[in-house]
Amino acid sequence: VGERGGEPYVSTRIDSDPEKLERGLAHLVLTLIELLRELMERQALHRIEAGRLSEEEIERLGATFLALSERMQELKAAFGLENSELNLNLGPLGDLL
Amino acid sequence: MSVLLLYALVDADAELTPLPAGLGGRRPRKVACGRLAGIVSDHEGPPTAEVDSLWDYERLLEQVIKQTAMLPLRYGTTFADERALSAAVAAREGPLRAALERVRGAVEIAVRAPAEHRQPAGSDGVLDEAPSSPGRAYMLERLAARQRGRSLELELERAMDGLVRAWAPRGEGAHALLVEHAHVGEVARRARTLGLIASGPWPPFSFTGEASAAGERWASAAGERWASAVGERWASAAGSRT
Repeated sequence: VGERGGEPYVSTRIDSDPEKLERGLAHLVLTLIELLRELMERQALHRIEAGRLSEEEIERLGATFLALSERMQELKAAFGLENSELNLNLGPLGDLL
Repeated sequence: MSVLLLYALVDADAELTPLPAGLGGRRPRKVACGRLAGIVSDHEGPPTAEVDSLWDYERLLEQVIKQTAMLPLRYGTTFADERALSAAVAAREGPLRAALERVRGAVEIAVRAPAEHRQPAGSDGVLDEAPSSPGRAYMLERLAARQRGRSLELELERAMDGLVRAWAPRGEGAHALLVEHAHVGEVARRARTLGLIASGPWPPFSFTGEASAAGERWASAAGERWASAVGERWASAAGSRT
């Protein structure tokens, strides 16, 4: 329930159930990986648009991002996570992704 | 264990005509929380993960927003009793009231480009790249998606000038728009002129600010699981409204 002793809490934050704990950790780790992946990909796209990457570099970066994207899909499926779940609410700052 | 399910926050002095039944046919009621009030219903426990319940929740919110300014709470936000609810709201009353002011008199309209507009070049959505350069094909597809997104934003900004109070990106080719009630029809018309799919009006979930952050803290386990389901369900309903 959403409160305890007058103070709100979220029961899923700390849960001794090993399965839930594992999924919670996977959610956190995959969200951070997704954040880094998006940041790196945006930087790479910016450099492509600016013409600062050779064809060989574009191919190498693209293959890396493609492989990472595929691996992320596998991990999300393994932990039953959807794309829309890979996010963190930062309160007044909004969502992380 | 009985709980109060919190649907939305409204002004304490908001006058509401009788609302439709909430989850499980339970009658909603207003609980004063300082200068705000919560729309709640009583239940034996946290809500279960049922699609019907989700739509009961949505229908009630739609009725509330027709009558007064409202901050919708994420599905599954529950409290043990009125005292607990009042204390939780009181602790954030200032930011919550500011969030309510931001959405006062407005609703959310979702716009998105049809799938065919979001796909990259090529009849089946795959760029015409040699199989020997999958990395380059991937990067070019991402680049094209980014450029399509920018193009859509520019078109929307031009077309909706003066009609939209706030924007929130919702993934590739999709935006949530905060629109005053009086402008809903015109926004939908202009969106269609651009070849976009518009749906709504929806409760302004994308613009609730502090209520969203508070809901994150208050949400029960059921709400955590179903928050994403709410979004997906509404997204799938896009086009059936407006």
